[in-house]
Amino acid sequence: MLFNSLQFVFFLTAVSLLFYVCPHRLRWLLLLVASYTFYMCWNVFYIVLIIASTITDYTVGLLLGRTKGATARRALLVTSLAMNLGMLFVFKYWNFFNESAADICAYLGLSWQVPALQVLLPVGISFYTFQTLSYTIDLYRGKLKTETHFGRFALFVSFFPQLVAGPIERAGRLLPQLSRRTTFDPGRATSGLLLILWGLFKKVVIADRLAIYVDAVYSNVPDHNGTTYLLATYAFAFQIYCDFSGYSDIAIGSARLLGVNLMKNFNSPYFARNMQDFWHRWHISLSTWLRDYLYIPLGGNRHGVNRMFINLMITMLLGGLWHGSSWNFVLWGALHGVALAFLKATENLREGFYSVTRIPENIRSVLQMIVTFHFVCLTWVFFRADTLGDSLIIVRGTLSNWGAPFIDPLLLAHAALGLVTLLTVEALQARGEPLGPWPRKQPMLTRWAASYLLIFAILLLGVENGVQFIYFQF
Amino acid sequence: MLSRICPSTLNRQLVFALVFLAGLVALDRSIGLVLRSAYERISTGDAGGQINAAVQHKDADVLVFGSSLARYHVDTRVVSKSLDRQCFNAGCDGQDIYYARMLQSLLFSRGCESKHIVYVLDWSDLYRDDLARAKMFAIFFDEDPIVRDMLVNSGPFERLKLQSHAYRFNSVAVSIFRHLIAPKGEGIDGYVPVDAEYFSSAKQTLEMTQHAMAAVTAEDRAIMAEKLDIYADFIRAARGLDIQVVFAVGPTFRDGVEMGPKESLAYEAFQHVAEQQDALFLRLDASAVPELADRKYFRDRRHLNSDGADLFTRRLVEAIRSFDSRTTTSQ
Repeated sequence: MLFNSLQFVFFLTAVSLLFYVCPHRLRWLLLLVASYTFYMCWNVFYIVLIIASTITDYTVGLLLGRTKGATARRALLVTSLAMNLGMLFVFKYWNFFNESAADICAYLGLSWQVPALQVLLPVGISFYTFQTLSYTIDLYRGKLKTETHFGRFALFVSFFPQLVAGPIERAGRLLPQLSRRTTFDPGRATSGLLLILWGLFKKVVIADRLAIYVDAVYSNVPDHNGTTYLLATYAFAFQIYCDFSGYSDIAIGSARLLGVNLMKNFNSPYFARNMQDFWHRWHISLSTWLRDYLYIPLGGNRHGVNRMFINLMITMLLGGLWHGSSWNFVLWGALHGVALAFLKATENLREGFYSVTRIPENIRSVLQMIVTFHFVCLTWVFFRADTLGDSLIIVRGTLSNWGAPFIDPLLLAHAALGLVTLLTVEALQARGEPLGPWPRKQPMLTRWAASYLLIFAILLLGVENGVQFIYFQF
Repeated sequence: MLSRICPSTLNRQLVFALVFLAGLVALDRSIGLVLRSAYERISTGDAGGQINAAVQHKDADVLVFGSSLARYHVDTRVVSKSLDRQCFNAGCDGQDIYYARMLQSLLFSRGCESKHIVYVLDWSDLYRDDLARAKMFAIFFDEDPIVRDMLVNSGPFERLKLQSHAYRFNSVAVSIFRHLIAPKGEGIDGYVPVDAEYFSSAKQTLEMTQHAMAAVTAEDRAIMAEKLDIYADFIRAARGLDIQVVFAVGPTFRDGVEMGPKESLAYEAFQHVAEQQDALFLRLDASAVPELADRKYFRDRRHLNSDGADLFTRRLVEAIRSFDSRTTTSQ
């Protein structure tokens, strides 16, 4: 059941209506059944993995609540880590490491006979394992109280709006909201609905339209030239942004209908002035997770500059690998790691340069945005290309092989209509008009006009074949 | 809970919701009307304009249907000159039998008086279930029962979605306005000559090689059976109006990639349907017209250039003429 399908519209409507009719004490059950049903619409059997993860972390949580000894607590944490990361490894990374080992052995003239696993990657596994891991780690650190209600904990792991592609919530934020008594708030419902429409607009009007062009180029790399590669990469930059942030908006909007506030996952990332700023604005729930549960525990910037660089690289390499089991993602993470390290290493140099050249602040920020955007685009090549070979052809071709581009004017006209709207809204958001609270401040007619515009843009311009969200595969 | 909300607030919200919905329906109908009126003024563009153009030429003696294999391969000038009959090429890029059947239904319901229908076959059509490509016919949802029946089967909740008059113009609205403002030339009576030399596409070669190696699966056979029923309906509807149907197989530039099992099975199936439904089946590929194995007649592996189209159409016309004379003699 995709967010951009009528099935989901009916499902969400039914769940929302039942939620407000249902007595408070049974709401967790309603949402849990809805969440499991939502997941089982994709694959009935893989619900077992969610349940296994839930039972493990619930039990570990209960035991951590009662255990005082440091060694025993550490053992409990290791159990949770082993269970969740082990599951992730088997279903997501086994074949990748197996193939890589086979390649290395073949290169060395050795034999490697470990069989590949014929398994489907469970949708959302990277998201819900990280979410449930944050619970046990926070408990271990003493930052959180144990959740004793099994049903509510199971709902925390599987809450359907954010189950398959985030935002990756923290237990400290989500669990109290799942127990809170909620009454129907028309203002909150309106803002939730508008956010859902905005997310759908980004997904079906912009992302899915650009996807047609991007796929035509990236699935047929040798037949195109550098100009086309450049255009397709720009298109992919907006495709992936609108696809993923569109998903996040629908998730946040859907949760808001059910009285739950999910964390913001994107904040106009292409207005970032450097790569650090970019990661404060892109997939915020993942970047903060990596910061809190990987980068800081590794030592962060507390043990000298060299160690900080190493920590940054480890974090970004694993962040890359989190996205997918291929060397392209590892390289994507590595490029981000190098950029972040470079930024730290040249901090003083850059400040000195700015004070000497006295470039006006507004011009400087525009230049920084352009440079940052283009670096991000370079990394997207590795993220999107099917193989490392294709990535290298695209990068090399973009730098040398220019010519008349392959374009579909009608397709670009469709996407341009959406992109103009997107950039206008993003510019307003950058000036302090976030879309979330925006509806509450507007007269009713403005809200209705915005809703009508979005609805008819989706009906008239939306790509209507239910293309899967990119981040579902992670 | 709902019961905790003040009843007057709830009533007010319900009234707002109803007014909002009423506004939505009114706007939907208005947008549908505006777009319909714009649509009726265009006759170019593959997002609907070509349907209008075909309707305007419904009385052409020879009507050509099919995908780009029809549009770029059947030269209407050659047909008109050789047979001394008016010809219109209604082929549309990327389309298949769904498009052809719906267009045929529209033409017939408007009193088509053609003598021949030529369908240029694409074997891969029998293995592709992609009705969504022909969604531009949604504009005629209320007017034609065959269009309606086909479209409601194109996806879940399609009947519900098609109640929206704006949705019927999904993905074609921009194209309609673009062709309304600046109509683009659509060739000669629908035929678009391509003056280009052969271009070797790595993707096309790969796809052809993969197709040649692929075996026919059970899923393929299920799609094929469904599609063949529509081809049979297509012929039956034409024969019902005493229109002769010609199924023609065009050439492919193989260059070392031989025909695979899927392709040969598709031709057998097409021939079987044609014979069963009293249509003429013509093989006009390199096996029947050896000159069409020459690279100089092709733009790419699947498409002929204008020289190739000229040669292909001449052979097609000869075959139709010979069939017509045989039929006349036997009568």
